[in-house]
Amino acid sequence: MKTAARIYAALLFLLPPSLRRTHGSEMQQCARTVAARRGVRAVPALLADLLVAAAREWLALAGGISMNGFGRDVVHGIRLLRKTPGFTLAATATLALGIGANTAMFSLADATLLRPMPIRDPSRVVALDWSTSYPDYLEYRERTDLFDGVAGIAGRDRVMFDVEGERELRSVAFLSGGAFEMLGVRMVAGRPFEIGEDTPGAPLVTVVSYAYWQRRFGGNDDAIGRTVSVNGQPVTIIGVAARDFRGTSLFSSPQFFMPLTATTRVGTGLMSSPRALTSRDVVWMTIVGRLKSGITIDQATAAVDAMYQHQHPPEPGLQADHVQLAPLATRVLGPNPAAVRRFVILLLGVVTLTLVIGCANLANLLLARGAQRSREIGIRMSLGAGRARIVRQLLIESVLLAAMGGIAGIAVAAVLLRLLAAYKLPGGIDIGMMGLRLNGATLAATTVSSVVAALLFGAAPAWRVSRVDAVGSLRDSGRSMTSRNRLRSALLASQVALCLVLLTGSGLFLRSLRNALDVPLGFQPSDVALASVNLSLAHFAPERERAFYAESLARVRALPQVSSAAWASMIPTVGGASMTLEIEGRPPRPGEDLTFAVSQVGPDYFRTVGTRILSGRAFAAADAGIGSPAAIVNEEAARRFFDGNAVGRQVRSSKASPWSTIVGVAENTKLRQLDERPRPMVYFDFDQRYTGELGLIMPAAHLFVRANGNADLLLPALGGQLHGIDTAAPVYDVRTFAEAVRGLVMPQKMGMMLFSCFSLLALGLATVGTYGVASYVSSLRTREIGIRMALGAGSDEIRRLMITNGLAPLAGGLLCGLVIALWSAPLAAAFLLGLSPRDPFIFIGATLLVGTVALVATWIPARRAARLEPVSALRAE
Amino acid sequence: MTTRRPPDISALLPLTPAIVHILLALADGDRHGYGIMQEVERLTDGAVRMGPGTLYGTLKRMLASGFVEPADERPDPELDDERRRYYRATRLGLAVLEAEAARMQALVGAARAKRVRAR
Repeated sequence: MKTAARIYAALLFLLPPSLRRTHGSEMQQCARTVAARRGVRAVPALLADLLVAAAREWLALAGGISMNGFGRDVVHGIRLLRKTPGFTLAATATLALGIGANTAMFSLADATLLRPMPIRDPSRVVALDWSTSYPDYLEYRERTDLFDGVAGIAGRDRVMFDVEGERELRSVAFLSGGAFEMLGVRMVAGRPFEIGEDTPGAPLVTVVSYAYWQRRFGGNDDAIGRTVSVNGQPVTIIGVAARDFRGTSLFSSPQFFMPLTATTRVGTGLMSSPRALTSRDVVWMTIVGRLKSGITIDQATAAVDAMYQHQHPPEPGLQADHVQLAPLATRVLGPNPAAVRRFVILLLGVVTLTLVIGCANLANLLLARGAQRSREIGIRMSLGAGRARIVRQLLIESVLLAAMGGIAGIAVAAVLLRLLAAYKLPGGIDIGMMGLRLNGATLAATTVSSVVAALLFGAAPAWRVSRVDAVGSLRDSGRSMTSRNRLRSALLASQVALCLVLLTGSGLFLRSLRNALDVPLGFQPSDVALASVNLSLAHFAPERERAFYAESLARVRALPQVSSAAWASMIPTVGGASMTLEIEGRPPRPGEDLTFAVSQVGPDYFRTVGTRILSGRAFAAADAGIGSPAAIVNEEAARRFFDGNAVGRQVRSSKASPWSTIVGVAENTKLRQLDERPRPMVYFDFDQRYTGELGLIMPAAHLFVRANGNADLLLPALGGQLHGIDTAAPVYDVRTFAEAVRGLVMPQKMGMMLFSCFSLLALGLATVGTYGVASYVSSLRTREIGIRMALGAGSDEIRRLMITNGLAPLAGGLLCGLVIALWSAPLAAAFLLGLSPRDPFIFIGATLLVGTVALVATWIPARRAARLEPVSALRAE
Repeated sequence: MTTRRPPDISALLPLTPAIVHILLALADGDRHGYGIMQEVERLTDGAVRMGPGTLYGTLKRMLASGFVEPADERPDPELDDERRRYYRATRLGLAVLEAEAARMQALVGAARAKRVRAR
């Protein structure tokens, strides 16, 4: 009932706004009473009433289009649809799948490409492409000649909150005071924090996200003014952000928003150091500004770049870095916005094709119905109904079907959105975190797709049927229908063509997924369990930290099902840090980049994660301890900087740190994506985190545990041991390594799933369509076949005749499909791994499959026709 | 105050069935939306079930034409205690209804005189 009420409320948006505004809530109240009195069975009538009313009111608004008999036509249409429940059900299901899939993909497109951020006038909001420091931010803020407002925004950080006695690990975004106003994000309750509240000494305040407010406080206004605590310091909740606002990144979904300066008190890692607010070298925030009217993005970029050069003058001998401003809406898509865009467009294309195929199928079904109804239409025309009236009647039936399909499609979309939530977009945007839901815009999209669908599948048959000759149809011949058959053949050909396009896509993604699963990762995630901990959240002292790491390692190793275990500061392919190294005896060459990805790992790390040591040795127990001089580089670093002989050479991270000696070379591992080129990497001993700033950059640590057998079975014991050591330790994400790196093959998996589902659906529809047309044509020609057979034609000949007839549209369809598929395949190229988007094997295979299926669907009716008894065939008239 | 009938009341005829039903339902007192729907159903022995969409679409036009006017907003103790907006037929509305009834009456009379019956 609750869902029905929600659908009813949503459908009110179909009414003209004037009516909805004046009487919408009364209609809801009324409908609620009706539903309460009569129960669920009143719901269909209520929805139908609303749809009819919507059509009537819009037509009335459109300037007094004659409404005479409109309601009667609708009633007549409903009656006809009820008389053929099989047809109605099949049509509704086809449309519901097509429209539902389109609605779901549109929500995804809306949340990524169209309106990734619920901010005011997003085209004027720009972001700097490099991170900056707090002192830099203060200078940008003064540039009122360029910007109407500037905000510093620092991304996610997990912080341990104490909410009414319960400890919760929550994600926080830090925004400068006044950022909400600058962005134009409204508060659902309370108020945003002001610039004055963003100072180092100010009492701590926070704005919570809508979702958190709903879940934790039941959406109650009395949440405002409550106090939560972080590290024993009180933080007052002063506001609730607008429902759709999830920070300024699609990669995270913070539950708390706090002022920038709060980082030194509640932040972790680098951001918690007092230097975060004083040093230009600690860069940790994104600058976002609203361009002043009249200022172009290029003018602002030039001015900001000049400031940047002044703030961060290039080191002697090195080239200057240049910064750029880009629209925030592009930046939120991550490092490769084009890939995200292309992927979403690809998905939209898939579902649009499916809808078009469904419409072609329906048009065929309606043509067949139209043929059966030519008698009824003939009567109506001879009674004086004009062609316009007949066409209106037929179009109303199409619109009714589309409306039912659209309503069922909303349910399909809701289910699809739930399924999509398990997937990630290229670059790692977690679809589940984006909190996709059906809203006004998506509902409008549903309405538009329904109307377009109705026109697509309804217009041609309606036009065709209305040309029925009143007298001729009453005589009931149905023998000469060649032009209608031509239309059906065209529809059939287009179905076959589009089906082939989808099937090739599905084949490409299937093979790509297989290739993706075969790519060497440089580690063996199976049988490895993983737990993460961030001790700086609980402000552990260094001795307590070290004791925790040592004790947990000892306890976990003692478990019988564990073969080895090690701590590391980074999970391969899930985030990471990098640093510039100096190599002894090898000054950097001009333009050379000496940036290394870096991880600090315990002695057993390489054995535990399954990364091979190619030369030299792995870390030994003797390497542990602060000030260890040992380092290990990867194959790529050895090749690029040491001509293959890295063992024995020395590196250091700054002039102030001691030299480390390279003791081994490890194989390359994937750092971010499957298709990336290898990057230089360096490993230091895990205990090095207590020296320098590395421990601050990567405050979290991850315990890798190789199990003797299934890692899943190890998880409860692992979690139990870690929680048991020190109850204050923030342990999170106890999971398998395989689960943690699941995101790597996501685009391939998602592409494969969608293409496979929809191409199967399309193949099914095309098969039904082909079979329907073939058997319809053969039934029309029964008399002709009888005559041919009576004149001596053999059954082989008849079969050949029937198949040849069906072959032309098939061949045409396959050819068109091949051309479209070849032409559109490069769109998918970026998401395919290890194969050409025009892989001949896939194209030939898909063509053969579609061709065979369609041939079988033609052959069955042909065989039936060939088996006819000549006499009964003639008598059939 | 004297009521002046608009001279061209016949120009408003014939009324659509929905308008006739709503005016009939309001002829003996103010009702809210759901009340009108119930009364229409009762008057027609369940033959006409008007949905909220049809009802309020028509009501909006009737408000614009001055056939009905909003009365007050109050809870209906017989239903639930939710506040509801009540509607009232205006003098113009009642006059139009009367004229429509007369028109129908004349039609029925003519049909009776000719003993029209479908064979």
